[in-house]
Amino acid sequence: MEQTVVKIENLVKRYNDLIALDHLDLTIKEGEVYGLLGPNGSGKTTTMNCLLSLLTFDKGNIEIFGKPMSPTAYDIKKDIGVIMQNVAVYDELTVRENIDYFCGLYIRDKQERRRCVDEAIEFVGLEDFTKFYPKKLSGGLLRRLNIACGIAHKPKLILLDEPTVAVDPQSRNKILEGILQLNKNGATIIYTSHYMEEVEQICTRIAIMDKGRKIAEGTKDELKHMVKNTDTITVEMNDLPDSVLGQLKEMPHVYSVTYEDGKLVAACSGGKHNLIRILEVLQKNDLSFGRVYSEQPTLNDVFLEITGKALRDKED
Amino acid sequence: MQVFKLFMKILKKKLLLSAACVASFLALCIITTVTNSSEKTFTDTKIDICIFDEDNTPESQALVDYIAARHNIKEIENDRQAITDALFYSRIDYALTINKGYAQKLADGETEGMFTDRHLSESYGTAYMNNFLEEYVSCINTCIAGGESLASAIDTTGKVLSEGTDVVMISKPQGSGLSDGNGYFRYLAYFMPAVMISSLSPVLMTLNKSEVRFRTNCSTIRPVSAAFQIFAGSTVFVASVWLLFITAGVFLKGEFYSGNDWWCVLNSLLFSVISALIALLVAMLMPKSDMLMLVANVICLGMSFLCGVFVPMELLSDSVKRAGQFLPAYWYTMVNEMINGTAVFDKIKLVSYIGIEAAFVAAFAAVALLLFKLKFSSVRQS
Ligand SMILES: Nc1ncnc2c1ncn2[C@@H]1O[C@H](COP(=O)(O)OP(=O)(O)O)[C@@H](O)[C@H]1O
Ligand SMILES: [Mg+2]
Repeated sequence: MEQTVVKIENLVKRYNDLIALDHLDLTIKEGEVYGLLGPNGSGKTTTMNCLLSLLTFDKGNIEIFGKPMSPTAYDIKKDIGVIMQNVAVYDELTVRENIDYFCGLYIRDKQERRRCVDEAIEFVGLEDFTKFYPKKLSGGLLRRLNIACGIAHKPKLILLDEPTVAVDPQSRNKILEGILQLNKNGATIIYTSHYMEEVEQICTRIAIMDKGRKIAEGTKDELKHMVKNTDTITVEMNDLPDSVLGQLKEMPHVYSVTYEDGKLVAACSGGKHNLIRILEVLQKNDLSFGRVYSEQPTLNDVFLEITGKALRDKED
Repeated sequence: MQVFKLFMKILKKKLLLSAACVASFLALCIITTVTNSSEKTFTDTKIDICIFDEDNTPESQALVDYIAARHNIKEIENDRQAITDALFYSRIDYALTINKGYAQKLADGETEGMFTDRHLSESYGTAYMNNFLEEYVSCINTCIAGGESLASAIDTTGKVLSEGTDVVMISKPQGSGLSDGNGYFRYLAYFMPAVMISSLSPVLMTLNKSEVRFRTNCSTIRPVSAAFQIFAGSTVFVASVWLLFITAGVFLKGEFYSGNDWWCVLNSLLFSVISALIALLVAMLMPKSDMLMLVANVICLGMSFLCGVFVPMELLSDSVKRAGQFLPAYWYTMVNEMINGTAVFDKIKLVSYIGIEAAFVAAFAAVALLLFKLKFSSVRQS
């Protein structure tokens, strides 16, 4: 039986009139890569801060490793690693000194600490930069240093709050791979992001948040099953007679068909071989067509269907 | 010990700034001590200055002559570009324009808009020049207020300022130059806060950067332990600077402290602690470190002027003195003046002044503790 690592019950957090967390429940099991997905302002960071006892809350219960979390629960804190969106290192210390300092806040023993620091440096691949000062590091390397500072003490639970914001795609992939590696090495991960691609890519279970509430939870596939749409098929063609459009609309599993700007878009719900069956209809009517593609629903579709708005409408 | 070590590492990086402060202080002290300070105070810091006298009255000429007697006058074309170039290539340190209407303003007791000055760096020389001009004008105003005519006020001021404190001293200082009115301990009131704000404040601010504090708050280190280690680091630093100061004093004086000198030593220790607390408060209240040097200058220069650090107390107006009483440097200076004989020695008063300084320590420490509780507790409300 997998152990419960984090249990949040009925968590309510108010900032004056604003309800930032609205009766939030989360249960995270050992070994999971748990994703908190939600638009900016949905309460992800607030959840993290409450979880870490850095922020008081109005109501609710938080247990970590089966014990109640509190600001002085040092036996819990020693097994938690935190990596935040903002790089948090000292400019006055070298790469190695930084990692050693933050590791030293957890591990007193010098030899053990040296081993941990060495491993952390190797893990993030900063061996060639140990004597560099943070100001001299590129953005990607700085992020890696930030991660090394958070994980050097070998935490069993690692919280990451949007660690890839404003990171170039290459470094971003490196970071995601690293997170999976940490998970493989035995750490439970909580990962927050407003990038659904990332969450889809690495998380074993996902909670979608909006306005401080958990609006859906499950594995990637479970979440996608929540929406009617299973695949969207697009066919580029120069001409489509209304009669054929009518035929397509009659087809089973096809619930919406549009033809605009030389593009036929058919939204399907369930059924197999939808693409082939649509193309057969077109061929039977002797219609020629150009590019054809089929798309699976994304978590954005899930979000859209539940809240009626897109996950990311303003930014990016 | 992690935090203590970190404190020292960061301090090492930030020390350069305060090292410059300490060096200039010691240099000044050596100069004033060697020339045995009963003579002029600042003549040894000559700066290169060009003066444009746009007022062209006997009054403005008196000022030009006065400056010329103690500094190096350079001829520069009165042209914006030429002046900027001269400043940039360090041909001059300071360009002073005596604005039209100077004499009139002097007679009317106005102080605004008399001068236009240009300089590049905030060096000691330029700061000194600014102070000097202020001092010069206020001294003239004081004399006029005392019933003298403008011409005789200018004359008196010239004498008072060039002959230093001798003119106004109640009694001449006896003994060594160290505890002299112009001497070593007096300027500590300016330099100690400057050293502390330029080195201790940035260290504390770095340690308290919100991002890294976040990490610290998540870790297993007890907040009390972290605070204690920072306190220990600060104490070691303050003690070192103070000991350096006291030791250097012995060398400059050529003999060990004796008799009433010890009051100065105790006084300087108290004031060092006050300076450190000021630096702590600055660090807690400043949102960013880029304004730090400015704040340091405002606090140190402002306090020095109000509290008679650069000018003997006798020369200060009553309102200035009344304002000065709310500042710790005032009491520090009062003690010094009592020891060096500028003021009458009175043991009961002396002890009460030192008691007032101790009260400042307590008050600042209380404010710091309160701020710490309000702003830096590990659990936030929002
Ligand atoms: N310190 C604060 N004071 C007041 N409101 C806040 C504070 N921090 C966050 N909020 C508000 O709470 C909501 C949730 O914020 P946050 O947890 O930062 O969201 P996310 O991390 O998902 O972007 C937002 O509407 C935000 O404006
Ligand atoms: Mg956030």
